Amino acid sequence: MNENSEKDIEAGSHRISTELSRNLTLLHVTMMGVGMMIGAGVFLGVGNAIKVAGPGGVILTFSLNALIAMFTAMSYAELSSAVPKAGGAYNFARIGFGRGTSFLAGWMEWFASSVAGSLYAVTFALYTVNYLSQLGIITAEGFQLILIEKAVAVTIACFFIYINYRGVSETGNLGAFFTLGQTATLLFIAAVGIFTAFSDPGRLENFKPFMPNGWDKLLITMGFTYVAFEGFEVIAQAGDETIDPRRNLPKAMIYSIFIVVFTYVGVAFAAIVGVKNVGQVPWEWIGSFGGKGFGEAVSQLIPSYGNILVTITVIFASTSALNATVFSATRASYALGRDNMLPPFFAKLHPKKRTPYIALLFTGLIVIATAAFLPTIDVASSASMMFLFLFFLVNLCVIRIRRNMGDEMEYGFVMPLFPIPPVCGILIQAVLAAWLIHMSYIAWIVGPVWIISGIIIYHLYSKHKATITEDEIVVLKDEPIPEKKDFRILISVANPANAVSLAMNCYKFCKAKGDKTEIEVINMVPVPPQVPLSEASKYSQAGEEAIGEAMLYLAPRCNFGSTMRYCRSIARGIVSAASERKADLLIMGWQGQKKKGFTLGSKVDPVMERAGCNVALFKDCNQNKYLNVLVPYAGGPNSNLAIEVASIMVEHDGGRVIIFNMARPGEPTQDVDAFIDERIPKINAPRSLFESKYAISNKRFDTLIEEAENYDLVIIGATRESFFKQQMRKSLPEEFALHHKKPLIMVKEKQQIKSFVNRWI
Amino acid sequence: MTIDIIIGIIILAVSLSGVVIFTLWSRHIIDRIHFDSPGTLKEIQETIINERKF
Repeated sequence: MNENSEKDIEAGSHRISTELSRNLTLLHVTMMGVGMMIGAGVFLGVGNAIKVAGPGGVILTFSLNALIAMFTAMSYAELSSAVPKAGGAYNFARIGFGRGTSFLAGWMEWFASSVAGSLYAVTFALYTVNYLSQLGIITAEGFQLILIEKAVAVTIACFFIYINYRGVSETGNLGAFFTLGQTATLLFIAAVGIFTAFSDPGRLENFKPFMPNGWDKLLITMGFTYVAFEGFEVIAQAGDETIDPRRNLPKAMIYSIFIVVFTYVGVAFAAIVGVKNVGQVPWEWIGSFGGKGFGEAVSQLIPSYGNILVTITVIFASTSALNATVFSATRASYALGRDNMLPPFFAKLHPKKRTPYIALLFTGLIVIATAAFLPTIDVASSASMMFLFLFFLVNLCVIRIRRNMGDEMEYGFVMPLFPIPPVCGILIQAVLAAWLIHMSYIAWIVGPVWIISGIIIYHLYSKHKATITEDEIVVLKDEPIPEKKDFRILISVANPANAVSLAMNCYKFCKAKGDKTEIEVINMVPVPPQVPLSEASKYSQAGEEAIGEAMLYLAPRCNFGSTMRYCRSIARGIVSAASERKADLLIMGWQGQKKKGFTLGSKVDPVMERAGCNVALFKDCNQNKYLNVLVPYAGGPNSNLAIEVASIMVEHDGGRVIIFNMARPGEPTQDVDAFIDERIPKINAPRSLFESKYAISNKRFDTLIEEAENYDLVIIGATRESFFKQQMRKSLPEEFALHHKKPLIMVKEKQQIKSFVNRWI
Repeated sequence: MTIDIIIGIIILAVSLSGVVIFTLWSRHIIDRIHFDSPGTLKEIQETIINERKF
C-alpha cells in the first residue's frame, strides 16, 4: 500500500500517469478488517469484561458494541465509497472540515494505531509467557513475571518495527489465509462451547448471576473493548489497491462487523460454559485471570489441546495485527509530514529501503513506551478511547460531507436511515468515552493530553507550514473592502454578459440601505478535479472579465471589494465565501434553466439551501426601472424579504407593488393589507406603493402565470421544502420560476438557528 | 429465569438482529446502486423515489 497512489511523470513532452495495480478482492479486504479486529480485543476483552460485568455482561458487551460499530462502519463505508483512496479518516476530515480537523484526525489516527499496536504486543506477551509458564519453561512469579511479559512485549514490538523498516508487509493471499485460520479456530471454539452446553445444560447455570455487578458496568466494558471493532480504518486505507473499491470497500466494512460479532459472542459464550468444578463461581474464576481469562477458560473447555490452540491463535492474530497497526500508524505520521503538518523529516524515505524510517521511529517509540510503561488495562482503554474520538469525528464527517458535497461526490453506497446511524454513533460513543474513566483514569489523561498537544502543535506549526491541498478553496486575488460596515452584500458574478445588470441591481440595494452598506464582488473559478490547483490560472479569464465589467459599473458609484477564488465546486465556494465574509445578502444570477436532478440548477440549489444569509436570485433583470412589480404572497417565511426587495426594486416615482394572494375555492384568503401594514414601518417605504389583490382559483399555477404576464418584475419567495419533498411534489415557487419568461427575483430569507446548524454541519 | 436474563436475551436478540438487518440492507443498497452505476446523492435519491425499491 504505497502512499502515493497516483502520480504523473514527465517523459519528454508526454505525461505518463502511474498508479498502483488493483489486486485486493472483497475477500482480501474483508479479512484485513477482520484480522485487525480479532487481533487482541477478544483475547484480552473476554477475561477483563467478565471480571467487571459478569457472564451476561460480556455477551451483551460484544453484541451491543457490534451494533454501535455498525453505525460507524456505515459512515466509513459511505465515505470510502465516495472517496476510495488511501487516507481514511484523515482524508474524510480534510474534505469535510478542512485542514485543522484533518490534522487532528491524522494525529489521533497515528496515536490510536500506535497504542493498538502496543495492545497487540502486550496480548502476544501475556499469552506466550503464560503458555511457557504452564510448560515450566518460565518459573517467575509476581513482579518478575510482569517484567518478563513487558520484555517480551517490547521485543515483539521491536521485531515488527524492524520488519516495517525493511519494508516487508503481509498483505493479499497470505494475510487473508492467516485471518481465515484465526477466525475458523475461534468459530471452532464457539462450536465446541455450544455443543458442550447442549450436551450438559447444567453449564448454563454459569450465567447466574447474569449481571452480578449491576447494569451500569456494561457501559464500562463496552468502552474498554471497543478497540475490538476498529478494523474498518485499515479497510479504508486499502482504497488504492482494491478491485472495484466503491463496491468492495463498503461491503468489506459491513461484512467484517457481521463476521466478528458472531465470532466474539460465540467464543465469549464458550468461555463461560467451558468452566466447571473450579471450586469458585465460574465467572469470578475466569475474571481472576484478567486478560488471560479467555485462555484459561478454553483450556477447561478443551482440556487436551485448548491451551495450545488459543496460544497459537493469539500468536498469529496479534502479530499480524501488530504488523498492520505499525504500518498504519507510520503511514498516518508520514502523511502528516508529507503535507507539512508535521516537520518534513517525518516524510523522509530511507535511501535504500524506501520506507519512511523517521515516521517509523517515532511510531515505534510510542508503541514501545506504551507497551513498556502502561498496565494492560490502561493500554486497552487508551486505544479504545482514541478510536472512539476518531470514530466520533468520522461520524461528523459523513453528515457534513453529505450535506455540503452530496451532489458532487459519486457514491457507491449511501447508508439507510441517514442521519440516524451517525447521530446514534456520535452520542453513544461520547457516553462510552466518558464512562471509560471508571475503567482507566490514565486513559482519560493520555487521550485528552495527546489531543490538546495536537491542537497546540497545529496552531504553532502546522497551520503556518501546511501545504495547500487539492480540496481546499484558494483565494486567487483578494482586494478587501477598505472598511467594515453594517450591511454587507456579496455579489457573485460568473458571466461577463450579466455582470453589469447584477451590479446595477446590487447598487439599488446599496442605495436603499444607505451609507452603512458595502459591496463585495466575488468570482469563483471552477477547476476540474483532474487539474491541479497550481495550474488553474488558465481558467480565470472569464471570471476576470466578469469582475471587470462589474467594477466598471460600481467604481464611480460606491466602495467595493473584489475576490477571485479557485474551487472544485462553485456552489460550495459561494456558500463558503458568504460564511467567511459574514455576508448579510447574497446576490447571484440565474439563467432560468434546470438541470436534470435539480430543482433550479446544480449551482443554485445548494446555495439556496445552505447559505447562511439572505439570498436573492436574479433572472433576466436587465431593465433599469420597474414600474409594475408583483409579489405572490401565501404567508410563507420568505414574504418579509420579498416585500422588502420589492420596495427596493420598484420605481418609487410612479411605480406600484401588487401583493397577490390566491386561495382555492372554499379556503380563506390571507389578510394581505394587514401584512403590508405590519411590514411598512420596518422597510421604510411609503404605504401608497403597495396594493393588495386576491384571486380564487383551483389552478393556482396557471392563474399565477397569467397574472404575472401583466407585470415588469415578479418577486417570489423560495420554498422551504427539502429536496426529497420537492421531488415528490413540485413546489409552486420553483415551478413558476422555471416557466415564467419575464424578469424574476427569487428570494430566500436567512434561517436563524437552522442556518447556523447548516453552516456548521 | 431471572428478570436480568430475560432483559439480557431481549437486548442480545435486538442487537444481533440489528447487525443482521443493517448488513443485508446495506448489501442490497450497494448492489442496487451498482446495478446502474455509482452516482451523486441526488441521482441515487431520485432512483429511490422513482423505483421505491429500497
